[in-house]
Amino acid sequence: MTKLRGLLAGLVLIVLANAAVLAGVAWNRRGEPEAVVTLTERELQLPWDAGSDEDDTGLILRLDWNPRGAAGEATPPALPATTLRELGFRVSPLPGRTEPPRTAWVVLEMEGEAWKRWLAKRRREEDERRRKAGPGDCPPVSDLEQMEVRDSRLVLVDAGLDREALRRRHPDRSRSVVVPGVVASDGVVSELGLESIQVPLRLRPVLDEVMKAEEVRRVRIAGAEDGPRPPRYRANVAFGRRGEPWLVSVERLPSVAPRPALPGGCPPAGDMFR
Amino acid sequence: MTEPLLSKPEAQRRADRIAAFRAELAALEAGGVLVLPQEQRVAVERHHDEALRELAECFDVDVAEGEKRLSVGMWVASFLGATALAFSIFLFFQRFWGLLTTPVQVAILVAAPVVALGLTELAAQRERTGTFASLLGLVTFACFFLDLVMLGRIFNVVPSANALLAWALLGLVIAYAYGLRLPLTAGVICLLLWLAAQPGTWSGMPWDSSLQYPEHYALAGLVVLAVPLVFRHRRRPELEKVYRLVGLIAVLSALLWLSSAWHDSRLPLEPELLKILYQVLGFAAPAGAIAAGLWKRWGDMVYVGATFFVIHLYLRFFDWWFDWMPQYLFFLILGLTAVAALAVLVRLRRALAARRRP
Repeated sequence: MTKLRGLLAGLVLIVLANAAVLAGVAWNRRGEPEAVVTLTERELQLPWDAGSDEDDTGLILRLDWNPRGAAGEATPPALPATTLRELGFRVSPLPGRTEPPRTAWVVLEMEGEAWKRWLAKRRREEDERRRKAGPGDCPPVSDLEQMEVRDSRLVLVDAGLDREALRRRHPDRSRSVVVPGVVASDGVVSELGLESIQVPLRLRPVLDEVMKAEEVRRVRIAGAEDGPRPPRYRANVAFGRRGEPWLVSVERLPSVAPRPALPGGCPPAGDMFR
Repeated sequence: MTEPLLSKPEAQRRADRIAAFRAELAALEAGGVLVLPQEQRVAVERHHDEALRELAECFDVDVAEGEKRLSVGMWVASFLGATALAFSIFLFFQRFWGLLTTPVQVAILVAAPVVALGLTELAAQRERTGTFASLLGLVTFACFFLDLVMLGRIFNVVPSANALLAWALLGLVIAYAYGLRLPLTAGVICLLLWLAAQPGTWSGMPWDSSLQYPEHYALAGLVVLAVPLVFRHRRRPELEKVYRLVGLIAVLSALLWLSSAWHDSRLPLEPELLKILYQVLGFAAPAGAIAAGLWKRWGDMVYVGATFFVIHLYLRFFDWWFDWMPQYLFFLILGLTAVAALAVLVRLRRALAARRRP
């Protein structure tokens, strides 16, 4: 290969590779989005060190999701056997060997039936525990408030290889998103194809304001307990034809008054790390 | 006049032969064994001076030992410089990218490898040693790497193994255009990773999970090893070595991994059978590499094969004996094995030297 040909080939390759990426992005975002959901800080979290590293000025939001409404339990429940067979897992793998994970489309539902059922079950359990405790006792340690106020309501509800079929089963495009994911051999969705979303410069001001306020708050409460806190912003997130998301808008939520203290000098409920 | 030459390594070998001839002639003259008549001596010296001048002009060969040492130093500095510059570009972008709008980010990312490639061409035109071109070639590769990674992050694109293929192709293009081994090594490693990702993606696995299975590396390594056998590098024989080394190290590392962790295999065989299979292959494959290296006179293949053979032998000794044998005896056996390995390596070295002799 002569130097001139090499130079031309290199230039063509660089241009083609960039064009392929940008064409894929354009195709993903073309036309009406496949789904647009409104998420809050509960589902789109700022990294704990956001804004503190002056050598990295970029900002991402971490997509926090709940593996089938099983928070608080040791392991999330596995997908049904029929789904696993559809994904290509063998019913009885070789002894002592684990099957490799598989790619799949997974459905995440925002504050849907799965989430409400799970929350209701947790409340019933909590009421039962409170009834068992004596009237003068402090309420038992619980993570319920954390789950009600702070944890993600984006719940995994389904998985499969046929995206259209999944969309037919979960038609609400303002609540359900179909995104690429990875299913492990034990039937648990281990990760999503993308678990963070880039914040473009035009949507930064609201989040910069939140980060600044957080800095001030940390200085003020230095050393004090940090309990569950309501979300401080919400965002509209669109998902395109390839299931790749992008931020459409971000807005600040009104600040909420601090939680009332419990009577009798009890520590605040809902702090999991007490 | 020099005979027609094809590549810089051949030119360097000719310069080395002239230097060796001169040194030997001086030794023979000092010992009174051979004294050339003044006329012949001057003619030979003039002929060699002319040949060296042409070689230095056309191929920038090192005509003295000091120059060779400097060349090695330049190569190391070029590698370190390229690595540091690549980090600097990455950190610079990370430092400011949050302050830029998306179109500006994209423009910078696309422009960076294009500008770096232009600078590589400029360096190759202006300087014959290729040291600066090598440095800038690697910087181009790093800029292109950064370009695709950051574009993926900016637009939330699900990572794909195809980026590895794009990086591999650019590494190969730069390497073949300018005859550079460092960009070729980077390109061939990316090609190996892309190939290793394929068996998994064909069977429905995520591409990055495919990279957790050693057999995929072994297959990819075999393909990389076969490249110089299928595409002969007559004009640039020095580049074949990169494929041989990367491919062989991938195959032997995968077998070494499997000989200890056979449950990571994807073959549908009983665990006991897999254990035997990979422990046998762990010895057979390096031995095969040594034999092939001796046959084809590829010293690098012999040394890599011997190294993996010894590592595999030590690992098996540890597995088989460490628990039940007194420790002094275990280390005595290791020591004696090292002595035996040394003796074998000395013989291999002699055999290689004998095969190289015309």
